[in-house]
Amino acid sequence: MSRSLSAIFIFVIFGFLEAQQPSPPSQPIPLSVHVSEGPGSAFKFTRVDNDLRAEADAVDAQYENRGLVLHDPDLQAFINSAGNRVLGGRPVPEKITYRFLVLRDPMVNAFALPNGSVYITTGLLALLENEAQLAGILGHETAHIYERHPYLENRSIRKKTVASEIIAAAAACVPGGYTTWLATAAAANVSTLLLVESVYGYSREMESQADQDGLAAMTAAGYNPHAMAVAFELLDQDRTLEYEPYRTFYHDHPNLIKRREEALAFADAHTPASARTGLEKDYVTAVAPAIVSNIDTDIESRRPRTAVARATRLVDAFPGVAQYQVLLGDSYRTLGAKTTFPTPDELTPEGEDRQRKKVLKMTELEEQKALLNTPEGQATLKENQAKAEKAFLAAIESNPQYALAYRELGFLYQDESRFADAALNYRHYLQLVADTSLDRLRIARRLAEVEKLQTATPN
Amino acid sequence: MNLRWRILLALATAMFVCLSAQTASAISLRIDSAYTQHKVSSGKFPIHSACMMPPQGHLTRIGMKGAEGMAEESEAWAVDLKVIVESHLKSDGIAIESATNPFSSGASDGEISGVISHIQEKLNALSLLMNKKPGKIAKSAYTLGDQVGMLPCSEKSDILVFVQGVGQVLTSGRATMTFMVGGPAEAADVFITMADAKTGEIIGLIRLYPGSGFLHLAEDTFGRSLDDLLAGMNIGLARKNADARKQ
Repeated sequence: MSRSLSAIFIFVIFGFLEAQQPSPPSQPIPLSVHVSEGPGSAFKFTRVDNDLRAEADAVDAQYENRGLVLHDPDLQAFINSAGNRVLGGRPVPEKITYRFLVLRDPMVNAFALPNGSVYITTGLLALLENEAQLAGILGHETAHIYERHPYLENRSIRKKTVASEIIAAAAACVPGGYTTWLATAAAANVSTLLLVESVYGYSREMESQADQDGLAAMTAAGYNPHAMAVAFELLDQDRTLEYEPYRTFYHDHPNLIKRREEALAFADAHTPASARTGLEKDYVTAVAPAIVSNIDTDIESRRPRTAVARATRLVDAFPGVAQYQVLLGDSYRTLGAKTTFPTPDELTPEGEDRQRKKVLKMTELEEQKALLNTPEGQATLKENQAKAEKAFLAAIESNPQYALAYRELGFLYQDESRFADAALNYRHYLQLVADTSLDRLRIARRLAEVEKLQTATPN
Repeated sequence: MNLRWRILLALATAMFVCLSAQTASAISLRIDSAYTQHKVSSGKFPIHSACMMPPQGHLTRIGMKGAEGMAEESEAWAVDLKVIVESHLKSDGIAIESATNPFSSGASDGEISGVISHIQEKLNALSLLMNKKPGKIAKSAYTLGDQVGMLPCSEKSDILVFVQGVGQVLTSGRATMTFMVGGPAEAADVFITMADAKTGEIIGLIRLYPGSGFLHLAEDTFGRSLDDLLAGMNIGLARKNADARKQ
């Protein structure tokens, strides 16, 4: 059970690393830091290992086919740069091609496949604050690959796990199961064993080793290992924002506290004076496409608080960008009668239990209706709608030609039964948007609907 | 009674109890079922056309040493499921379109697959609750949102149809072991979800649980049940066809 609680989930994406000719670390490696290269040629491949590698290739293909890998050249270059620095001059292990990919998944997670593909989710990228934290995560995941953990764990699982457990894990993560984790569902479609590895996580010893190796690798690459301790703190704070049916490895509370302490101990002993962390503004600029993608997915996946938090971050960093202002407005509109942060009651064990039951028993609509039965819920709805309107109007002011701002404002006014205002904004949207837009028909339908309602109920 | 007979009797009893429990459990948990919204079952929302979303299938092979993925077979099975569902809908007088068809929208494949991906994400998010409480479908509790209207096929269709399947097959060694001492059986869960093509409201869900042979004899294992459930839901001409079959 402790293994399942320290679970990892795997997912999402991305591009090609120039791992065959890794760039040398830009900083000299501190003498006290040893960066592991794993078992090297001592690891002998068996048929089972080769099968697993083939399954990993299939998972890569599945993610691509399902459009789960986020392709953005600038973002990719940034991730590759951090990943290559962490790899440093170490030899590439046999049958490994390092690739660092961004997975379009709201879950806060990162994972490594046995073929060398390292996935970091948009959910995790949107949470981190700087390049050094990213390097720490990539250092941890590449350490799993160097140490051959996926293969070793797979051999172990085959011996220990009974079929019923595997099927139960798979059933929880496939269509009709109990997950909104896009990448998990996709992986389950291809490789049950890889899925189980992700669900049950690696052994405590392996995770601890990957933490230590990752810290050493990021330090050797010139990054400040204190950043990793801060990242664990961020992950611990973030886990209370939304209810998750399962805790992923990167959201596992007791483990995060322990890992933070270990990272701090390492950093205190090994941080060189010249270690770099990177500016938050530079980081947000580089990963903005991932944050944008993640906000969309958060909104679709019933995670409006996370959407508000991430959109607020974008707007604070880039105040005049209409696209980000629209995302913020849309996040507040989706939040509805829910508060931006969990209430003190929600943070108690009993409150958390109630939240869990709510998510498993009520639809989003039913939850909103229940909240609106209280004066607090009604006040929160008005407050959030006002914030949404402010964000949409700011977007129009920033860029009057930005069509989506009118569409979203129309949605908001329709929610508020301001049909004349909604109709005006839908018309504006239809004037600005291209004739081939897939959304024209939908908005035309909405326009007809609000015009009808406007006649029946004048503003 | 000598010792040999006693042992034999004990083994036979154990086997009987094991198999009975297994069968009883399977019967109680795996009953084909359908849930539908009142406007469909009452005939207020007649269905004449359907847009088929890309199917999803996941198969696992269970052997003596554990389980393994079946990537290629999963894709092929998903397509088979979709073809079977399409053929049953067609026989009930429902015209079929494909969600990937751009028609005259001028949209690129990438744009359409982006919309499909969004809609499927939304369905996955809903599945959490919908499969726990399918009865709420009758009360219009679940919706994918009117973003479904962005699919070019939605204009020409009354409903969107999602076909999803999860199944496990056994190797011959594992099947023998299951027969002898119990364990996992060859079986599948097939879900057919229907949504209003304009509003995104979930209007129907069919859950089928074909057993042994589902992979190669899909039509034989759930075809008839599918017809009956479609008739019960009042989809297309299914009810008339069912009445005709009875006569």
